[in-house]
Amino acid sequence: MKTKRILAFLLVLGVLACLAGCAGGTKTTPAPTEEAASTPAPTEAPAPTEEPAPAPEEPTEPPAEPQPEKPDTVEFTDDTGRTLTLPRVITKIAVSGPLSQIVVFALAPEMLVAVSNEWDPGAEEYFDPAYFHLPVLGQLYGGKGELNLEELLAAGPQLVLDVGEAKAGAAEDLDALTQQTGIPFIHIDANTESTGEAYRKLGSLLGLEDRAEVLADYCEETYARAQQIMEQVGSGRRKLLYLLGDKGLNVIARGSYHGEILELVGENAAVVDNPSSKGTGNETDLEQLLLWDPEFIIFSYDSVGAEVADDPLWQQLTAIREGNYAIAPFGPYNWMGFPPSVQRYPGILWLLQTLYPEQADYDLYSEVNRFFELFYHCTLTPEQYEKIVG
Amino acid sequence: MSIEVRDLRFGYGPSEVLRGVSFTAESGELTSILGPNGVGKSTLFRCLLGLLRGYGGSITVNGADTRRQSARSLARQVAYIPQSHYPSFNYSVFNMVLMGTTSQVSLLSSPGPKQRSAAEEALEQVGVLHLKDKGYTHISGGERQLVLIARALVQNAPVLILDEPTANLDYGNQVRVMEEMRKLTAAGYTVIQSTHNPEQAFLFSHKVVAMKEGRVLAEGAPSQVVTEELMASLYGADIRVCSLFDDRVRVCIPRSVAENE
Amino acid sequence: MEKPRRGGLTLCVMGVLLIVLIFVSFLLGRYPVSPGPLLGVCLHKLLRGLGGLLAPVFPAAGSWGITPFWDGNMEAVAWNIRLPRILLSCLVGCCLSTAGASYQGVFQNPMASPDLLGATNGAAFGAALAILLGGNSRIITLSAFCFSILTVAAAFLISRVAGGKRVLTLVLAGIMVGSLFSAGTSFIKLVADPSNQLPEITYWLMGSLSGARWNEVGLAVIPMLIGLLPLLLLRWRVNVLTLGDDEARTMGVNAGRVRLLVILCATLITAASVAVSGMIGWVGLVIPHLSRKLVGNDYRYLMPASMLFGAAFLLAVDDVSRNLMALEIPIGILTAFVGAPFFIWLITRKGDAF
Repeated sequence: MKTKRILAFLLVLGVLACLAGCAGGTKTTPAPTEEAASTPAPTEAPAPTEEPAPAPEEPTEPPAEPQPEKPDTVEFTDDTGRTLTLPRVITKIAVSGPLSQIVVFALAPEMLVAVSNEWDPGAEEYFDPAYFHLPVLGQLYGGKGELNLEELLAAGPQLVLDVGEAKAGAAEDLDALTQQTGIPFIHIDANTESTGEAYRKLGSLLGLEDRAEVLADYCEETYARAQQIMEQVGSGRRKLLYLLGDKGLNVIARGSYHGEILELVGENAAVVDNPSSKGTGNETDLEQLLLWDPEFIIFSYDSVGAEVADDPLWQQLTAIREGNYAIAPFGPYNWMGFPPSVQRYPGILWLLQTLYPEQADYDLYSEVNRFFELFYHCTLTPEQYEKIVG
Repeated sequence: MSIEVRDLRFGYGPSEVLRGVSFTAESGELTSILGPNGVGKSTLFRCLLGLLRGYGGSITVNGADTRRQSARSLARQVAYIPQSHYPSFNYSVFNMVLMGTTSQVSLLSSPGPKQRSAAEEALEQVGVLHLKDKGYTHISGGERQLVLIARALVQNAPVLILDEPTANLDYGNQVRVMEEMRKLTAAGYTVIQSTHNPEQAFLFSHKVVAMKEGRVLAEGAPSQVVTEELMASLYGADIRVCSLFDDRVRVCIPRSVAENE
Repeated sequence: MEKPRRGGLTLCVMGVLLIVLIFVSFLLGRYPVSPGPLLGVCLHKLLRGLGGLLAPVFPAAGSWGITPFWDGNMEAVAWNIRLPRILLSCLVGCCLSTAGASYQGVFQNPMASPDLLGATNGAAFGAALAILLGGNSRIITLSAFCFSILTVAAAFLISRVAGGKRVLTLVLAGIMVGSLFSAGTSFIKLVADPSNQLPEITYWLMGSLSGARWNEVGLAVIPMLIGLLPLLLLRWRVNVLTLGDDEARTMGVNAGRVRLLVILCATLITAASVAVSGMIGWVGLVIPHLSRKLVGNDYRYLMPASMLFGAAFLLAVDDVSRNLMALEIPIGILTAFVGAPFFIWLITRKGDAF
């Protein structure tokens, strides 16, 4: 019994010592990967000079090393406002989650030492096998996650990229991870409108400005083109519904996060009190669909689109009766974009041509092929295209 | 050492269970609370043990009112021996007895060597030391009752309260337990037991308190209480009380059986 | 059945096993580091830490340390990743198991576990809420901790108002408040953004020790020790309490007060554990039972045995969770895989299971 008390006391002491040790040590950890790659000792300030000087005044702080102007590092301020010291030449990177993965894959596939999530099996026929079979490290959720930190260190990236919507607490979480692993974790903001900007930032970060410019241009051009076409359409904007679920009775409502793309290319007829931000949207019923009376219906690739033609119930909808509906393409991901990513750009192009064939008179195949070449680094054969858009 | 109950009243909500109970129990005496089921014997005991505090009247142990005493100081004066039971967790007989010493050790510590030897002594005193390392739930009902008595003894309280100690026991074990109680009485303890068996109350007690409907029907020496008249009134049945062995034993027989002979 | 003499020896063996396991765990990891640098880093850090503490009185201590013969990655792995995680898994395992043993004692119910009064449901709600509002890890942890305590406090107050059989109303109130909060969690999951918040909430609910850091250990260890120490000292009273309130009172134990104290401490350590680790089930039920098999029901041995065994168990499971695959397996899933079959075995077993 007494020994337990002593043990508990020792535990407290031990933890205190550890914390003290940690507080002294963390400052030294950033940018160790560089040293790991090159030679460890000589690049640092020589050992003998640092030893006697700092001891009396600030003992808990690491010795203030006179940092010579190193030409091989740069300062970089990310979108959370954190300034990090990075190697000037970056060749190895890792990503924090699926959205980062797809964005970064488009720009710098050869730099990825690993991915966070397995690629969709459907992507295997399109992607270069070298990229498809990258090691999987797991995904970060906030400050923790499946991402195995030791595995990350073993993979040896020079930085970890977190691309997506900014989260309030992201800065502190990423700081903690940077401090813990010694690998800089960098956040870049991105959503449908700002994807182009995100690519430029990534380009300057990774030294791939030219390539990034091409991607950014593509994103911005597509977006601008969509707006231009919609201007031509003018008052002819069509009243749309995007239906999903195994009964086709889930709808992406106006004002929801996932509805952005629908509002860009038409008028989303689904007005509900509480637009769900979920990928599965709001539940609805046929009566409500009749009330909304859309001019055009888009079905999710895994919904009832193929069966409605023979269904008397669905036939009551004008749009179905008159054949004004389509099934959204899928390959290698859903073009309507869940989660919202670069996949939305061919999605926008397809939607425009499906809805307004007169104004959107481009060759969709070559547009989509260009997207595949730019973002997926592969050529889309006409057969593959047929299978996707069908 | 004596325990004195004066005008004790207690009710659960509107229904009164105890309606002015008064009696005394002296040290060196075995006092039996006699009465049919449901007359308030258990409620009376819960008041005596300080488990119920919202009663009217007073309970004093050696002149000190028990109502305001902490559980711990009351435990040093009054020990309780429940009917033998199965606890949720199985403990060794020795540990079970050791728990009786709890009021002697401080809140944050465990019993020490002194308490341990006291527990062994108590087990020896009631004659079940050989069961020491057995699991409490693995011994017989009579043995369990003796273990509980040993537990009350290490509590070092002068007053022992037993709740129908011989209920659920076979005859041999009943006798063993009653013998043990008699020894304790002789050693100077104030022993109070509840029972619904008038013959046993007569045979072993120094004093019998007959309770009916929350009141004391009669209090006094067994020979004065265990009478035909009182027993008939107490149990609401026509009973003959026969005296045997120079009135050392009284037997209660239903009159219908007795008359048929 | 009961062998008190052997209890002390069993505890010693468990303690030694735990220490061995800690060393083994330290050597295990996806990043290959040989024992030399591992120990070097730790020794260096401890010397530095100790030196830092002593420096004001003993200036030479400030320069204590070992000249590094390892690179930065090894240092990060040994000191920033592996060690805090090992400590945290030991602490969490110890706390959950101790809380379970304590709850079982004061509720006289061998099936009680740390979430009996809704502590884990409350924590889940707190975490989900913090994630929904965009908090960082520290805010999520704090929110989980506060809501966990709040849930148990609410259950306790409700049972006070309700009256009746205290233990029963307390358990019922715990179940009610707990289910209220889990309904709240479900609602938050419904409204959470599915592209980033929802997976984060789901992941949190599965329980994980990944990303364990020193400041997390530092944050958790204080309430944990504040709760563990009284539980360890009160263990004899818990023994008496298992006999029921009335008997305990007649033996001089103020049952209500001791139970309140034990619940308070057990809740504190449960809340602290769940807040840093997420929902890790079964440890609080299974480990106390296994400990009962080893040292019996006597809390003088059961309490420390649960502590040691809990720490060792969660450490071992966490070793699996971080080493089995390239990506982390949420530890809550693994403990359920071990715990559920054990529980089935426990309830189908005939004879003196309890």
